[in-house]
Amino acid sequence: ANCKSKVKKRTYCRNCDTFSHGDENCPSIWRSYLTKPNNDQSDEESLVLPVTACYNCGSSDHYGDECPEPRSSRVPNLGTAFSGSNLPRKFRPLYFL
Amino acid sequence: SADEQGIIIDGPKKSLYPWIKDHDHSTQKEIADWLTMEIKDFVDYVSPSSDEIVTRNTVVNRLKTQIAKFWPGTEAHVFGSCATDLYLPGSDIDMVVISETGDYENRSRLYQLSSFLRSKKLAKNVEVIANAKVPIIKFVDPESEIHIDVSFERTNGIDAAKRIRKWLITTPGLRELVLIVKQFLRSRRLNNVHVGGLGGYATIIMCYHFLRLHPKVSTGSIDILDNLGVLLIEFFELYGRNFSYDNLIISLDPNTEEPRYLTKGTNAVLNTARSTFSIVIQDPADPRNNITRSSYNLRDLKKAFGGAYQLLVEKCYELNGASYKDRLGQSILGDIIRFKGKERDFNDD
Ligand SMILES: [Zn+2]
Ligand SMILES: [Zn+2]
Repeated sequence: ANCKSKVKKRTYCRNCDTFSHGDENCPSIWRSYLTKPNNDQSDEESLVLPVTACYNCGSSDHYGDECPEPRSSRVPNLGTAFSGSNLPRKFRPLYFL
Repeated sequence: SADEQGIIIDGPKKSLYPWIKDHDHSTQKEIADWLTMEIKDFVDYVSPSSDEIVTRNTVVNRLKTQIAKFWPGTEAHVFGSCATDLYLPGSDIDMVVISETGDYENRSRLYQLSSFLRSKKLAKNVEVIANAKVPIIKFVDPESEIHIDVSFERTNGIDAAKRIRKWLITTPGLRELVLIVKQFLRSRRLNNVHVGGLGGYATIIMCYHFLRLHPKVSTGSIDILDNLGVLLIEFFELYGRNFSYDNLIISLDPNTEEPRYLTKGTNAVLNTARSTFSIVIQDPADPRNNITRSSYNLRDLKKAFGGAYQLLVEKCYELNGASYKDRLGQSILGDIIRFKGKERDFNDD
């Protein structure tokens, strides 16, 4: 029902600062989590990374989005749940070491 | 029936997504929360009522008692979805007869039991399938019309049910995700292992593996039950778009049950399929067994998962941009799940 203009506008998402999709098609619309209150209590020194596994090469050292190997699936990767950047903030320095 | 032929009859049209009746969530600010609530409504809708639970228990107990009387020294057990409370309306009951001597899986025992059940009016439409890899008796309970399969001397189903019940306790929200994925597969007719579909145990392991590995779940930063909407989309995202079926095996560490992937190249024994594009899930109880050896239709499975991701995501974008008026009465799940069959009462307790 939308008026389809023949001139293709360049899409830009203000939320993600990217040209790969528009505001109205932003994955953050659905990839939003209801997080538990105050689970940032544990001290930073005792942090241990959770179990990881790569959906692309199987390695237990990283998630699939950070895989250095060539992608096996032919469907393009738009960014998934299985990424170090989807870890809670306090774990990220440890993961991206 | 008229319904099956697509004829529209006068009177209120039967909804294809009856679970949203009187449960409108269109005013939710976050679309993910709307989907989460709709999933919970769907689960309430398909969950067995107390009457249905009583019926199933009655059928099971009657068969257990009668079989034990007929064959002293044997015991009949329930396994499968009925033993884990992961059954959908109309699911059949799986039973297995275990004997002290361990030698009841043979043609004459199968026929003995089938004529006993028939003569006692405990079974109708009885079929003896003696030549299959897993010989069974199939029949219908005359009172409840529930379909029942009885196998012999195989304990693996009982062990699997025990394992699943443990996971359901330690992973609140697993049940909800499994029921949605099962109904989705059923709507697409991809749940029948006899024609290459995905079985119940495989579906459960995929859900459990996905949840345990999820960065937000594994770090304890979210409750699964509060995030069923986004997690369902991410389940389809993983298995419909990103997982390398060509190279990887879905596995749980036998000691810790932690999720991991094995490579097909180094685990040839599990590679039962001819093509590399095949789903392989290692049996948690037997590392040499691939529980998805019959699920040969991976092409359609992956396409269905990928399509569900696409449909859900597009619906989220559409509804996010829609006015309150246009949101009213809409269903997000309705694009991926149809619920046919008798209208059910909500199970709100
Ligand atoms: Zn964006
Ligand atoms: Zn990798």
